Amino acid sequence: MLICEAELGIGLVGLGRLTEFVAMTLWADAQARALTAGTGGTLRDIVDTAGARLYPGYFWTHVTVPPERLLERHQVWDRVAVGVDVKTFGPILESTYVLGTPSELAEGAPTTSLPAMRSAAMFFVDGTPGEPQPATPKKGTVNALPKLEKPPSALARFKDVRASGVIDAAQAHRLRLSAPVACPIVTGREIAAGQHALVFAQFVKLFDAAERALLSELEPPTPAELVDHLAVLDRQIFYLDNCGLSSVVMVHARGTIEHCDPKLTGTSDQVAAAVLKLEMTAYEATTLKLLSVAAATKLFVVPWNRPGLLHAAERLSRRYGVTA
Amino acid sequence: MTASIEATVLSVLVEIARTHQPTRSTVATTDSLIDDLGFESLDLATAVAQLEIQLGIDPFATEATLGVVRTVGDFIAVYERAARTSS
Repeated sequence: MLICEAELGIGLVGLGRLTEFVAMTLWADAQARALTAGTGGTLRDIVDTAGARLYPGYFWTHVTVPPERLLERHQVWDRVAVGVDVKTFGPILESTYVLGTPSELAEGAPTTSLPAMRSAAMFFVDGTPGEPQPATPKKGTVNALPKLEKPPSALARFKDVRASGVIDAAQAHRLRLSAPVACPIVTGREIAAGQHALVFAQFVKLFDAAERALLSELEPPTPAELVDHLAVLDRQIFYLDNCGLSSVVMVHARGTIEHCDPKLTGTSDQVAAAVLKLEMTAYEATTLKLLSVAAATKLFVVPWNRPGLLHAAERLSRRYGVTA
Repeated sequence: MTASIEATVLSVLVEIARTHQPTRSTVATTDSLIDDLGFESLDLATAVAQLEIQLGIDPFATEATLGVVRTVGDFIAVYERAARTSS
């Protein structure tokens, strides 16, 4: 496993704590290093035999976070360590990642006890508008990585989700947004100037906007500050398509609130108030292209010394919560 | 060798084509991968990986680009050329 360290400077987390978006970008950076280790180049130096620059485009990511080691325990100026293993199946990449403190990774803590991500990606030609063009890296521009003998299991699952448009058709969610949330894609905010596609992790922010809207529609509405205390435990995203500048992404969300053990996080200064399970879809407003489908499990984690938030969480749980 | 390369490529391509068209039993060299067989990015990538396992070569890492492959015949020609180069 390749291990890289990073400092959570203000460029990554502002003055706050580690977020799912930032963790995913740290994992992607680690994958980039694994792909180019020993080549003397960076991800921008990976080309095909015609010299066209390639990039690895994710089509599936799955983040899992143990409740005792939430991402939010890492805050600005902390050092974190990120580990990655990449295997290839032709131009398809299957990667596993972990994130913890440098000492946790140095001590070889079991990866099941740390925040982790699994992903599937493949190489595409960079900068081509329209349909992504698959490509194979020219020998020597990419690290020689272990090879898989059969396709990553995510590939069949991806095709299934793309065909059905849902991750778990059997899940009957009680809560549903009254209308999709419109998220305009703005240069310098969701997308970099001159780019034609969203960075994969940006979808997390779009889904979070819909989740916030869903919770605000409840009666009584969920206080915004309580929504700020939602921590991700699990999120699976299937990236079916992408969109660019001036697009408006419509995001739909349905969900279920479940009761949980208040001591789920294993710490005495926090109360685990409820679990929120969500399934979300994102599509482009004009073309109605389905861009992404996601499922998430999140935990309301409230400091024990915030009684107002605890009361709001209790109201939410009593009014809408079900027993899993 | 050439005949076995063609047979291997056809066998891999028909297997992938069946995921879109379950009743399909053969593919022709003139078939378009996209228009006739319904191939997409992941199918092309899967074909390249399967053929690397079965033939031990990946011509797209050394001399060709996936962008030039339009038909089943193009695919076979790329692998036959790579086999001649590597032998």
